[in-house]
Amino acid sequence: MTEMNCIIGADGAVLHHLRRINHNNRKRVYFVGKMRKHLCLLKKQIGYHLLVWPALVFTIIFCYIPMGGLVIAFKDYKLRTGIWDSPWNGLDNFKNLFADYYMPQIILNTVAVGVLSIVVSYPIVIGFALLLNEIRSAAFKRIIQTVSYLPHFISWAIMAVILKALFSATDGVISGLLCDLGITSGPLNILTARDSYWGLVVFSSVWKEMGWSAILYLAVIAGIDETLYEAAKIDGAGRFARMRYITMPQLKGIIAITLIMSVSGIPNTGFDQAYYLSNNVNIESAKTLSYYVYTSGLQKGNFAYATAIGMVLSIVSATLMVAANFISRKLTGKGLY
Amino acid sequence: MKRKKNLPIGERVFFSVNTLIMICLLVVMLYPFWYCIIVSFSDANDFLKGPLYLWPRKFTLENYDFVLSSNLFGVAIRNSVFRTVLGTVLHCVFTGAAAYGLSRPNLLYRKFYTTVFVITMYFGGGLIPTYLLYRNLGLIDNFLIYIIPSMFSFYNCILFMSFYESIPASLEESARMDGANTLTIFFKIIVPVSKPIFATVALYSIVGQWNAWFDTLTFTKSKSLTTLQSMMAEMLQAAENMEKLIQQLSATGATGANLAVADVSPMTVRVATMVITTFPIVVVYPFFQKYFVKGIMLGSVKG
Repeated sequence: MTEMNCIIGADGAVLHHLRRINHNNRKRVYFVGKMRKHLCLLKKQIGYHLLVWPALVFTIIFCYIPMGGLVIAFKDYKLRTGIWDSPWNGLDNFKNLFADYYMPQIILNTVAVGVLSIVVSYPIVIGFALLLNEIRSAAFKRIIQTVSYLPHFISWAIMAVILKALFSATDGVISGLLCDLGITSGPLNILTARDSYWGLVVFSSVWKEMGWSAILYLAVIAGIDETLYEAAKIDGAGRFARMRYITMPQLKGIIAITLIMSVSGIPNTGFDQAYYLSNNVNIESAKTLSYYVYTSGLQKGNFAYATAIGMVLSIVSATLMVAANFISRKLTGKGLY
Repeated sequence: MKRKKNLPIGERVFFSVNTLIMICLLVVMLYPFWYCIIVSFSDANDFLKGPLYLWPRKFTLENYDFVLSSNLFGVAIRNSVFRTVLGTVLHCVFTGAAAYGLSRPNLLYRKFYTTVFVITMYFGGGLIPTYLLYRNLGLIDNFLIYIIPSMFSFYNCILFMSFYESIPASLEESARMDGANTLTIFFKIIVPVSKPIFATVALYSIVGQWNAWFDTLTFTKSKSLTTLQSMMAEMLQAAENMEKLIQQLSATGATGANLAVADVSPMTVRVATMVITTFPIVVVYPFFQKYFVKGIMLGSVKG
């Protein structure tokens, strides 16, 4: 390149022009070199990439294509005409959402079941973890923990069988017991009553997940520095003071994280329960948004409308996560990200 | 004992009350299962006479005989076992291998790959678009619906990745010196040293597959694809038509026994099915709980 400059001599314009070519060439050479290095590295790593690509293709097919399928929320979708040929209808599906007669009750049910579950389950789970931690005998502790996980491993289909066996008005054991003890005179309607549905759902969920949810808290408690407790004891702090002022502050972070997840799950609560425990009598209290997506979409065939609801649900869920994270950061200084 | 005596009265009360609470909790956790077991061994006619509490009044195996001898049960248990075994093996290999590739620190485009996966943890298409996709792929009413959509999970992929990161790089390098390719290294070296994480993920998958009911009820129609869970769900859904279902069951099955329909009732049959369905999980999980717990801890640290 330097020879070139010599030959042209003093002609500024040409020189300038050539310099630019020179510069570009150098950039190209650099780029090609980098590219070659890159390809070389890629070739060396190709084995790893070949392991990742199937999962990538899988994710694109099973996660991203359905995301693209959300366009039917903006269309007058019919199964016959298909996604692409169905005509656009703008925001009509979303407008229908506001005009839907059932919507206020469904939203109320969703929020009630979601919020009540959180409000009821957190104190119980944390209380359980704190109390279990105070059990002295390691064997007894282990037995309780193992037993408390058990309901986590059963499906909601099995849960429903158990709940019907326990609470059935005609042949359930609770109803029978209360009758035998003379507390109630007639059969006790829990499964087929509008008022008891929320309670049934909330408490059965707590029963099912209590032990499992406590695992994280127990692990954090086990990791707390023992000397903190010793110091507090010397300062005269009682058992409950130690729980309140040492254990609880240490649990704050993990509670914040699980709470963020729980809050963002509120829009999608109540599906399994409504699927198995709803009946003609309590359906008005049982219908939650996720269940409504299922019934209106797959059972009644309003695909576009159900997709619109589903889309709103995931947007609300993501928003709740961001909001909960923000609030948690402000209050406790801890968050998911 | 000696130490307990020295404790102040308040502490002693606390421990007693606490132990009492825990014992109550044990009862609350276990009694529903116990109740289901005794009902499943109860004579149906006797059961209707009055509630049972601790022990069956009239012991019988009729309910189990009825469930086990029906053809539908045979189909259901076969499908449940197949989907659990095949689904778990495929999930572990597929997710474990992808995680191995993704966990290499100097992997090109690693950030890009991870971003593509992470987005799916927060957003998704939802039920209807997923259904339409399965429909277009021909997965509706197809056994593959049990296996293929659950082949990969990024959550478990993270569990694998965090484990692989703790494997010393020298292990892999020495194998590469010997000229082994990536796949050989994965199966011959990485998998054997990663047994704990494979056990954890396999157990998550086993429980998930065994307990799955939604896909069967939503995406399949044929009776030949019934699983134990969906069979139970149908028994529940058809509560009022249960008598009909029992007749149907005895029509298709009842090979050895000449069962009179009156010998079993909806409740006792349903509960017997539930006990059979739950049994494998209950037997397996206490032995593997340390793996489960490890998984949950890893997941919370990473996620």
